[in-house]
Amino acid sequence: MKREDWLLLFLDLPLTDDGRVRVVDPLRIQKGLFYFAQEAGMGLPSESLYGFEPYLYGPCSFDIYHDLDSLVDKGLVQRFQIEGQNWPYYGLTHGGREVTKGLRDTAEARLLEALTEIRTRVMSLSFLDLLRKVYREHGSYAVNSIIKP
Amino acid sequence: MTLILALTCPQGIVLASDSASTAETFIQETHLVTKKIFQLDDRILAAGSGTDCVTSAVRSRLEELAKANQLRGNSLKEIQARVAKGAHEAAKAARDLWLPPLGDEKRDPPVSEFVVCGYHVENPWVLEIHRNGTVAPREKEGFTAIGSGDTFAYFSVANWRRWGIKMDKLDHAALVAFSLLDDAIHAAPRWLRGPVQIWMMTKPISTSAAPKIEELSKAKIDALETTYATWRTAQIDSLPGLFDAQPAPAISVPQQT
Repeated sequence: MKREDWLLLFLDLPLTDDGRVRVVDPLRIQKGLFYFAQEAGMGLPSESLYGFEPYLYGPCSFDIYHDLDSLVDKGLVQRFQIEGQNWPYYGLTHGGREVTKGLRDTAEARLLEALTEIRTRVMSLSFLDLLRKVYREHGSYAVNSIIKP
Repeated sequence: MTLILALTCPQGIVLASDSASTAETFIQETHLVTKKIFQLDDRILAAGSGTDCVTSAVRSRLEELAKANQLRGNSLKEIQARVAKGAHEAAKAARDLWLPPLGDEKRDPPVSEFVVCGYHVENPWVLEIHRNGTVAPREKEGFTAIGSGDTFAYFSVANWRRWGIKMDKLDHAALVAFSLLDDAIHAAPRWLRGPVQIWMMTKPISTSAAPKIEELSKAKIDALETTYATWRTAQIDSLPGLFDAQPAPAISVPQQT
């Protein structure tokens, strides 16, 4: 599994009851894949994980932005600009969901479970609570942050 | 409409712009994405606003001067004088070539302005070149903006400074530059367009060294976008009496067919 496969799986949220696509903002994508690398990724080869550095909003991987663009170009991910929101949101296309079906069959069950749990965690917290939690647990990644939640 | 701005901080210089370019034909306007910032040599960046044919001609002239080592030397004043003269003469020549004078009409100066910035020895310099060829050094103010959208940036900078914004680090200056451009683009979407373009010039480590010059990649611009959204969201979340709360993260959109 490559790191962008885990990114696709992170975005693979079930459709809503009325068939709408659930989408995720870039901060939660960054923090979710950071937790995945820190908590579940021990022992995985480096090409399976994103590397993070302390940035203006805590841990950040510029490679995630690069891969999101690449997945948008491949037609697997769609970028949504939602009226009144400060940032773009990302969700899987129909093609992206087809790809993740195959990825689920090959991914290690333990890692899939961990990714799902982490995604639930970062999606259930408010924006500032999520930052507080990340900074409290991984203070060394908060040194360049402009926000002290 | 264009917005180009330069910010200085102890760690270096940030030069940033929008990407809008408009070509007008008889029947419609065509909006194009254009690069407005260019590197002249290993110590100097420049950016221009105005008609494309004029800014292209000025860029070519300044690049010729750089190639001929005319932008090197001990005297910063001489370098700046060559830059200003070259830019103004090239702008006038391009204007007269593409828009020839009618008879003996009195001509206004070409509609183009430039910001040129760099390091001379270890000292930052920022020069604004006006459409009539006059210049204004801006490194002491630490900020300048040109283009017809400059008012947006002047207003925002005055506002941030009133509240004591810190720009000690180059990353912070880049974030402020992004915020000024992003706000202006959202305020005037008909005329200003993304993506935001940002170049950073890091202060040289010695008198003989050149500054490090970097054009921020799309990934780094996206990271600044997330940071600015984080900044705004933190403000909104802390002022529930004034703003509607941010929606829960479970946002959904219609599926594409």
